[in-house]
Amino acid sequence: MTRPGWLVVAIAIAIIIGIVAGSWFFGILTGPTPVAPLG
Amino acid sequence: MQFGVPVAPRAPTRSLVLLVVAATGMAFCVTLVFLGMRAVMGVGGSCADGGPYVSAQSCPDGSTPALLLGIYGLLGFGGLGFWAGAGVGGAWVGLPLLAWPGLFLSLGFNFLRFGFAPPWGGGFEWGFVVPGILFVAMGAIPLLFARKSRREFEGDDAGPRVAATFGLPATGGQSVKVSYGWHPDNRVVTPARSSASGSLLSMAAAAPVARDDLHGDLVDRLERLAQLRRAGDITNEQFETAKATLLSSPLPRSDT
Repeated sequence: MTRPGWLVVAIAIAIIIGIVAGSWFFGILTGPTPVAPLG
Repeated sequence: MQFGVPVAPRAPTRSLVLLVVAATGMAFCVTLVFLGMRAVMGVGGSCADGGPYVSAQSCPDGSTPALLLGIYGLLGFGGLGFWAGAGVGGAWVGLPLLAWPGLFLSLGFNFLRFGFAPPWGGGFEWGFVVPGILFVAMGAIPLLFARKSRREFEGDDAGPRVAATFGLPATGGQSVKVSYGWHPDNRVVTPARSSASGSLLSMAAAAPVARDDLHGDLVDRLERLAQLRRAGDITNEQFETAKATLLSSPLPRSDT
């Protein structure tokens, strides 16, 4: 794989990591979500 | 396998790493804005906190810092992306611009999602559908031009073309070697101009070279001059003059 191809894949992975990290961090900012009691 | 956008032959590793970091940061920030907006829309689309008045609708926990961090972080990581992209070369300098469609398409999705099916029921919310359509258009239309814009940064004549686009002056009298982006690591440097006349000497001694290529290029030019002399295309005197010009050229003098 040429370097540009490698860089495109790296950027794609970086974007996915950014989205996952952003979702995780937003969860920290908003605090624990209340869990409805079972039953 | 060849796809994507060419990078400069010697793109600095630092720029490559920083470009990946910037892409991660921008995705992180767009996600924060996307989720923060969803939280606010979930309470009706507007909220307020603080101040002397009692707010009719306070903001969901975490939505305010998420939006602030997302918006300002996007600007910061975008700047980093432009800088690193210029170092990588080619159209990579435009990578942060993709955050624009990324942001507006995701926010437009939020508007349309809540416009067509608001969580509080009641059917159709025109107040969300209209901005949703506008946001999707704002995000999608630039994408149609992205491919054409990418081509603007490619090809051997990309430097002069892009310079002309921005109204920058052409380098009068001097030929221009295309550089990959305007970045400290990719500056175009120009040896002192030869006082000798003639196209052969101009080609050999006066053409600018990139900083990274300077030493290898000097050897190549000396060899080429020697070949020309052996072939009888230039005299010994012309050879010595051109050789002295090459060897006495000051080391990198930046044009920028």
